[in-house]
Amino acid sequence: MRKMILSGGLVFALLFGIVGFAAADIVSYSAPADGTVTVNCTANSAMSLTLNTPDAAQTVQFGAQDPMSGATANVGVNVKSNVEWDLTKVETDATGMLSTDLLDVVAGAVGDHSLTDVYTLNIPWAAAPGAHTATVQYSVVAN
Amino acid sequence: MHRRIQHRFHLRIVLAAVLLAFAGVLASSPSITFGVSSQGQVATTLSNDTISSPNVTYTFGNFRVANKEEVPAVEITFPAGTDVSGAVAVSPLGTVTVTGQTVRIDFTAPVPQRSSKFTLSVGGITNPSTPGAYNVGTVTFYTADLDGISTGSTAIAAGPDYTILDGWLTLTITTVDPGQAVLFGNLDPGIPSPPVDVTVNVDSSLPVSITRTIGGDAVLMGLMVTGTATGAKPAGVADYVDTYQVTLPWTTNPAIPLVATVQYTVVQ
Repeated sequence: MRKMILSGGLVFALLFGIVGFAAADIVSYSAPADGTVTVNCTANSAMSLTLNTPDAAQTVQFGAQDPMSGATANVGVNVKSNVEWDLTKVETDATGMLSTDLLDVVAGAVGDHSLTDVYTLNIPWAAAPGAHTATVQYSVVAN
Repeated sequence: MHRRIQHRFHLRIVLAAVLLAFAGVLASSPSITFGVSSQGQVATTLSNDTISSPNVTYTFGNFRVANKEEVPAVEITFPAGTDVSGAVAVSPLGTVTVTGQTVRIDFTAPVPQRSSKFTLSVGGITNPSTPGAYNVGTVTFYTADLDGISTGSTAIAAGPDYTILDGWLTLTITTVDPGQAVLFGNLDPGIPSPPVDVTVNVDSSLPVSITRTIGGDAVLMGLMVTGTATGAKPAGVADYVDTYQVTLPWTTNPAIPLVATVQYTVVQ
């Protein structure tokens, strides 16, 4: 089965070729009292992943925090797909100070799904003061 | 000599008396007048000569009113099948009384004496539902002298038959794609397609009602049809334009061709 993977941070859809339709011949049809128009189309296989962060540039800025403050932030994860999908999450956090509550793998059906991942900051007293960065990558895979 | 003069005098008196008596007869007798007469070829004309057409105005004429007479009312009996229940006096104005197929109009102001080439128009008539030749037979004018005293009536033939024609209804649908179709092709879900216009041309002798019925995979493709090609429409020729747009839901299974139908039914 063809796999489609969407990585977090970008919102896009896989397009299997949009076929444009050009103006064709004008066809007239006469009937005494009724007539029918046929409408045809086919859906492309597609999915999209949208991340909604509290701060710009798809980031979560906790700012200056005291140790053990327990600050939290919500990250919205929206998946739209017309095929069944799996959402996977990979955290890269050298400090171990960030925790998230969304499962590492979430399976989903077709449709429009909005999930929320709660980020919690846990700064131990032993952590050296300074700037710390962690990344969380979300991927959607068609299955 | 004297007797000849006396004889001439007596003749003059007798002649004067005869003239006076004749003048009196002329002044008092209504039967001497001519009432209403036709003027030129009397004809019946219709504002719409199609079967079952409503609110048609029938015009009769031309007529002429005689000297020293006026016309306070008129009566016309329409052929069977003609609906005169909504008859109104278009010209001259007046009060309408309908009895069966007969329409009587009592004019607001009598048609005055010596009116020439006057016509009579009756509106609000619905034509018969069967095509063919029709005639009202005669138009009966009620006449009166200048004091408003009835002088009787005059019936005048309405002239040649008028013809009620059969109706028609034509529906023509024009699409940008051949086969009376709208081909959107492959589309991404969640993104509205470009709108596509479909023109529905209706040519009808009567007012119509257009019904638009959407079926097939319309829901699966998120088909929206908006526009004027639905509802009650007047008689005549007109183009009604509908706009088609598809927004595929994310729940629609991809790669399966979808086919929706939009049926237009036009009823008079």
